Amino acid sequence: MTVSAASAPTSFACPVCGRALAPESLGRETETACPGCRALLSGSFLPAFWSPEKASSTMADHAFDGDAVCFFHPENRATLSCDRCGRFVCTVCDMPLGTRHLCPTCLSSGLGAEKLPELVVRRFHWANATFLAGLVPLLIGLVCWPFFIVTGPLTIFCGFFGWKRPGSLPRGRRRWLAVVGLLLGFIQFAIWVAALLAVTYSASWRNAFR
Amino acid sequence: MNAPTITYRRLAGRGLSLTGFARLWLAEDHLLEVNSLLISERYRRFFFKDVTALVIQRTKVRFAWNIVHGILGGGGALLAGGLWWGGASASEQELRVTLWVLAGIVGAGAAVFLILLFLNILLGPTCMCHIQTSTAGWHALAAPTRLRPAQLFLARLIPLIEAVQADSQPAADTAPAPLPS
Repeated sequence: MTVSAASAPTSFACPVCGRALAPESLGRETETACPGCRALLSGSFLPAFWSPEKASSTMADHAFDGDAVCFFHPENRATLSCDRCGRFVCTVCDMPLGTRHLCPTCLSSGLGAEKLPELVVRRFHWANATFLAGLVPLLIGLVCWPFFIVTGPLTIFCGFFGWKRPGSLPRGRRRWLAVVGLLLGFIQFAIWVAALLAVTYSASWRNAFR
Repeated sequence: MNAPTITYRRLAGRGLSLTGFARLWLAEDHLLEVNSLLISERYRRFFFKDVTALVIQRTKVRFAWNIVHGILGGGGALLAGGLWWGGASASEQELRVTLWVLAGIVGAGAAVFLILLFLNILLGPTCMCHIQTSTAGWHALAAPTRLRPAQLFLARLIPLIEAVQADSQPAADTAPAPLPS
């Protein structure tokens, strides 16, 4: 089912003030001042602006004998196959994700456990957390060494807990940061133990020499 | 079936916003805006097939920073000069040394601001990049914030988007073949 073709737009909204401007006024090399907000604008419109996609219909084509049918709607003609599982889907079940087309099942399974990288909106950096938890208390100084009993194990926990967790989407896990953080965490722990031993033994020696 | 891995390439330019540091990364079919705050990252994607316009808006942020750095740097330099002159004309040794030490501290601070002023001038005019998609309208990108990287960013991105949009014409013959009877 198709819907009437959309015509090319005759104006665009200024990104700053929203005032309607003529698309011809915008150029990549020359700057144009918006009459509304006086913002100097330059840029480019892309083919999708000039020829907007036809609005997709929610109605699917009815399948005739011999047509491939949708896995979820056997009465509908299949228009695509899922790029993940290969099931045939109709226009109703087609879930476009960038350049890929998925079926509803693959999309919902990918939403749950972050299996689809295109759907990840937030990530916690365990490696960065390990590094900072290891470095910052040491940078603050040895005056806060009693707190190393908390920050040291916390660093070690972050390092091991996040070892297999996914890291940054574009940068990856960056495990070297976690390794350095773990090392600093062990140093904190060692300093705390050494300081505790020093305090204990100095007290016992003082008592022995009294 | 395993999820496909996406390879990202870092784009020039970075930005600083209320939500943290921002960088742009380029994938095969989309642009990824990453806002990072030390231990967490937030992502926003702009798929090439949806992008309808890219606009650079020249801003006056550089001018504002130039004024701030100029006042602090110039004022600090004047103050340091005054303290130095006061120290040179002081009769007491202790007062002279105190004023010179103060002049050194204030002068160092002023030098930092003057260096920042020089760097700000050197980096070029500031701007804000806006991206328009057919689905979400305008969005102000947190990076790049300087005009030259922004122009490079546009020059690099526009051919990629045009190539994707040229390829993504809705094809009627993508339907699966009929099942064999």
